[in-house]
Amino acid sequence: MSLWGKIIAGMLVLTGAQGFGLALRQEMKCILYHLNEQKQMLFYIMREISFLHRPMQEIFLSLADRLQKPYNVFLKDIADNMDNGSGRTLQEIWDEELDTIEKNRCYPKVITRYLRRMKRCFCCEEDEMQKEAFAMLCEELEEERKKMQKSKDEKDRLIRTLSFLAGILCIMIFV
Amino acid sequence: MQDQKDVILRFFPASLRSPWENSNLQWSEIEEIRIRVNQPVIIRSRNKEYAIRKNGPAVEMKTTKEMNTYVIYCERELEEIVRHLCRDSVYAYEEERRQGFMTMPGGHRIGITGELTTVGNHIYIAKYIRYMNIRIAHEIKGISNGIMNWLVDDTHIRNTLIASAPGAGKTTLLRDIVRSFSDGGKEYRGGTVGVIDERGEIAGAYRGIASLDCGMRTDLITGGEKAQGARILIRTFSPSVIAMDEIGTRADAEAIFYAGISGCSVLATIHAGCWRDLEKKTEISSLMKDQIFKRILFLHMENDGTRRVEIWNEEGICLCGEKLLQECLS
Repeated sequence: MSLWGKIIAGMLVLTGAQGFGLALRQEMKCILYHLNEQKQMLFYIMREISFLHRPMQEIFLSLADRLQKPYNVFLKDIADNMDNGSGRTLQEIWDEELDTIEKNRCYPKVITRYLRRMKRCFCCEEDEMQKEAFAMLCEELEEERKKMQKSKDEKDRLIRTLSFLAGILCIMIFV
Repeated sequence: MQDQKDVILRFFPASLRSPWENSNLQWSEIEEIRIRVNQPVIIRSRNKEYAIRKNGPAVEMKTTKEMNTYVIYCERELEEIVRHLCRDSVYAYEEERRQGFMTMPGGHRIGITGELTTVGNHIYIAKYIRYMNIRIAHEIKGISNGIMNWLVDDTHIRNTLIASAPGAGKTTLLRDIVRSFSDGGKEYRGGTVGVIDERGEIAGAYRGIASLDCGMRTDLITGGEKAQGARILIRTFSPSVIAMDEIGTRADAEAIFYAGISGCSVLATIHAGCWRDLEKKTEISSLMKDQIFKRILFLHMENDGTRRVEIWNEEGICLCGEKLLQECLS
């Protein structure tokens, strides 16, 4: 292969790697967005329990106005199902909504993993116990978020380096 | 009928509804549902008791021969019912567990009890809820029609006390008097009413909203003590009348005096079968001695469920002999 061929091949590999890196970064950004929203959700729930002692159905309705997609729709649907008199438990309704999300395959598995964990925190009999259950999950979410953020920062540096190298190769080829 | 059936089914989780759905009960006539751990569920309707069966329609409870066919809830099922009533948020109903009752949408009250535990200074909370009494709210509008003329004087309503034995309908009558005065009638203008609904029985308030009609000029305070409620209403809502249920303590008597000093009339109910019973109640003796109440209504319930009312004045003179409360509906 001639020298030019090698350079062009090298540039193609670099751009491919850069593209892959960008896609991975985008996915991490998406996961971070969801982890932030879920942490926000837990924070609001704990606050509502502390100050207003409201039942979950009312908390979900209130949160549905404050959170972003898809959590606003998720919580609103759960609140509506709890209120429709069907007699099903919160856990049953929560599972059903999560199954719908997973069927649509719109979101990474790690998102629904934490939402399923959240289901186990419900139905404590005392408000301090209820808040503690959410607080423990919140800590885990925060650790996961920090890990993801660190990994994303590393990927960002790698992508910048790859972009720099691809840029140099372009200059060598065309100038 | 379907609405009342849906209302009652909502008290139970989906897993326990099937016998109720097949029970063929007269849903609109159900007054009470008694749930006791390891005992048959008993439904009271028009002075009769019915049992729900595991299969087939409900039957009138006359003997214990068919007990093995009746629906009996064990501890786990009672816990499931409590969790369902608390909407999977038992932590949010701590105050209700402390007071021993919960109010449901529609004004229905559920008495809860079982083993109590101490959570603070003389504060007890139901730890294991094993006994429940679901009282279905029934609103009867117009039962005060025939007696309002005895109570109202143009724009002013006289201080009125409604007395009877438990379960005779004092609260239902009080609610209708409140509604009538608040909305106004042909011979009197409507006035502002403040209702202090300590236990949620007058207005059937759920989350602060009245489920039962108390009139368009009525302000409602639920929970809290009567004295505190009276202070809030008088300071900020300027009611013409303050209504309260089941007076019996010295604090209640002081709240009534405070309302009187502030220029409000008072409507109240009390457990007492006759004038002599009233005189025996030492906590409110000052109210009787000072003739605070200008009208005392004695309510009696017959075996067939009909109610009769006698109207007395502050001096102990009967102004109006017994009349059927049902007649007042026309």
